[in-house]
Amino acid sequence: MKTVLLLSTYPIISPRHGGQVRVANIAKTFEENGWSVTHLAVYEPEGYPPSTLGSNDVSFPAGSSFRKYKGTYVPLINDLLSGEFAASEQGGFAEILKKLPAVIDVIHVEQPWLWPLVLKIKQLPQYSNACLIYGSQNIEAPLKLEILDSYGIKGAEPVIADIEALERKAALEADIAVAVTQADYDILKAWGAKMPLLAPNGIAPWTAKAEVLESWKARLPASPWILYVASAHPPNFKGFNECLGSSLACIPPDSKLVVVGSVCEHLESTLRDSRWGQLNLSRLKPLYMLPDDDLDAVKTLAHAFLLPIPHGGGSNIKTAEAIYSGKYVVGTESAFRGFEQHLDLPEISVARTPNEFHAAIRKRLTGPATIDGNGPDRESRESLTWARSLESIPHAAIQVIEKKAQA
Amino acid sequence: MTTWFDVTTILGWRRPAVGIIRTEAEAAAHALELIAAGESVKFCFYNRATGYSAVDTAEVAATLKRISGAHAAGPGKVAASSANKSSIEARLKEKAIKVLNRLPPKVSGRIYQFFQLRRVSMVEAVIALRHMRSAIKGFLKPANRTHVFTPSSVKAATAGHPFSKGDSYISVGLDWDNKDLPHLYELKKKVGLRVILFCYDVIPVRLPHLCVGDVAARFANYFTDVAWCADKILCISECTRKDLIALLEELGAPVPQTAVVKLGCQLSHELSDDISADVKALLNERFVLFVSTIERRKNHEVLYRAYTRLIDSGVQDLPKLVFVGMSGWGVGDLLADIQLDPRTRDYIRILNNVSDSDLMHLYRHCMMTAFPSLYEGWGLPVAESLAAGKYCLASSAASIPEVGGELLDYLEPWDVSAWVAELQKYAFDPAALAAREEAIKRDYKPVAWKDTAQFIFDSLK
Repeated sequence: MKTVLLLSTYPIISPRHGGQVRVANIAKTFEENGWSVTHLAVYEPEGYPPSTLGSNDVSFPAGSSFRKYKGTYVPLINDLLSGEFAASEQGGFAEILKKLPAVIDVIHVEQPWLWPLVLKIKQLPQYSNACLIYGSQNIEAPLKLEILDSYGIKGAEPVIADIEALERKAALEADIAVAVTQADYDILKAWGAKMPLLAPNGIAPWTAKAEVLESWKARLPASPWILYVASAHPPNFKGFNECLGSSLACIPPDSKLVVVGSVCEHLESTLRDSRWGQLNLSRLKPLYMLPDDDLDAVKTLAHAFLLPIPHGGGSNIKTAEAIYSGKYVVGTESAFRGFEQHLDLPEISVARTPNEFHAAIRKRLTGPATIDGNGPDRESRESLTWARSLESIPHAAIQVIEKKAQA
Repeated sequence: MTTWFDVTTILGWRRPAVGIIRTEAEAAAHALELIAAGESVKFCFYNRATGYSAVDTAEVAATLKRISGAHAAGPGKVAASSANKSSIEARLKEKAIKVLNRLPPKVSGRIYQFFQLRRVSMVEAVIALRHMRSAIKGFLKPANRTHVFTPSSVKAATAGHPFSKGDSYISVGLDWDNKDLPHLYELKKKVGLRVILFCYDVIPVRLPHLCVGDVAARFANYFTDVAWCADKILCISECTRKDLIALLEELGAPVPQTAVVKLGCQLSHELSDDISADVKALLNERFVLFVSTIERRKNHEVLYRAYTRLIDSGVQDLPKLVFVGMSGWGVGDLLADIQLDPRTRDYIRILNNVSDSDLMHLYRHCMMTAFPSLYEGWGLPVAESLAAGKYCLASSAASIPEVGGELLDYLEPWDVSAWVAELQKYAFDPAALAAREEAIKRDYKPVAWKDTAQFIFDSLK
């Protein structure tokens, strides 16, 4: 049995946000393909309660001197700083070392942040032959720049330069560089990746429990309504007004924009503070964070999915879920990044301007329940499941290991 | 298939008819004629507690009679059948106004303004308290999932309605206060109603700074619901139609069919010899008449400034300037200036609570009228002036030029110099004024309310 060491900057015991879900599914895919998986997270303790931690996870303490970037505190870059912490003897490396399995065939790191740790482990003789996989998730430098800009954080140019250098280094040094979108794949290839691989985000098919479904049916509008599921990741709410022109007038009076996830508080405040605040609140139904059973029921009852993501790299897991549902989907071009092959489906509408968003939402919320009375064609959507979208990673790893063995 | 005409607004109206009331009343009168002629027209009334219900023609006829004589009537009680139990928000507002009415107007006005500006936050506070109550219930009984608070579930049982499949529904009243348009939308979908609604103007959204409190958000909600409910929206001017469409497009609401309906401009009351002392005193004088609520948007200020400039430059024997209308919002300083300024004290008169008959006398005896408004959905006083054969110094803003067409010269509302020049010209050149009046008498075709009402009902065709 081959062994993979899977590294990330967040635990995956109770996956909530997109990054956690992807890493949890990478672990599952390796296991389903006969691998032994050791996952290790170097996490920020302020963001993850003890109940969500795995036995190998190592804390990057809030008081650590590694929380400073070149001697000063820069907000929102702890992910970048965690790499130096994890790879340093004065940081977390000693503790990490104790948790490593005796044999490692593959080190798979999600996002570039822990690449210094990967190299440090690889320097150890017993792990020197390990195959290195870099899972890029996003092209991080422009995304981080956008996030820092959106919070008005100035003077971050050196940080962005360091992130880009780290990404390029990881892409160049890894045996396999995994992209989630075709655009990211092209960038990794251009950066000199030895074996670029496209493994889009996928979904876990869901079914709702009947009693939960009934309970939500009673509480949600009887008329068709549109669902937006998102975390508090800034691109999920910062660009909302840009997409919908600050107005929810396209939602009929008896319908709602139902929102689930930690984006709710931010979105509520964004919509309330717009010029059309009262109108917007009359059309908004925030459900905040929901347990999985409830979320499954809400997704099952939705008439349409909204994907108002104007910027940001990566491919959105919520997009995969929306397409897989077979229901109407209205989203930006960016939201469909990585799923371009599905854009021809009749239930999908790509909107580029507020007018196009409004028209598409109005059409979907006042039109027939589904495009096809027989429901969606399930077979053509199976490629959207995690099992299918990620299976190329362990297969490619085996190839690399075999090639190394022959060399 | 029946055409339902909504008379909710006039059934509850206890004061003299203003534009919207007159429109609903005149259309109701036309509906009575249609019923008498055997057409399938019925009246309905909306109550937040019980929904829509039919109203018999006798009650409507009595209401029209009451409204036509309301200038003389004292405060009356709303008929029990028409009592409109409103939302908590509306009930709180009603109670607050009752309390405020016991205070001196200066104090009550300030308090009202204070709370009006904070209306949205107070509603949010009430919602927050309800959330808190729901959260406590949910905390104490976590297994009970029904304890999740949803504002939309807190609505009256409004299932009742007299409509049948394929019926039509017309409302031209104060729908932003009296109706629950989301409920009408549900009915429209359920029954297949064809709905005709009205748009008088989009001023609260377009010029919210000239209204009381921050009304833009509230009215954006209202216009959006109108757009979702209506198969056709009747606008009272081309300007209003264009502004409404631009607003709906900006908001992303649907844009239904629209049409422009011209409001009638006859003063419906007959002349009475019983003239009030204030009006009688004016009838032997030369005066310029400005009929309008006294509020910032109507721009009384430019006339006050023009008068002071004329007086300061030595012009004597100016005609009096008569403002007819009640004091509204945002004109406290102006009214104080007018009251205290020794230059204009002898020139400017302010009249309130003027009966229709007295108003007819004023129109008949004035030299000319003035209407310097900053923005209008139509401009009824201009039409009334023309119908009375009087020239009007009119603003060039918004819909006003649609009213008088080529018969008037239009002045930029903030251009004091232009108002000075035109006032001086017509105040002291009777021949020029007479020439304009002659053209008006020859060319102006006043719109009869009957034609307006007929247009409204014909718009279903």
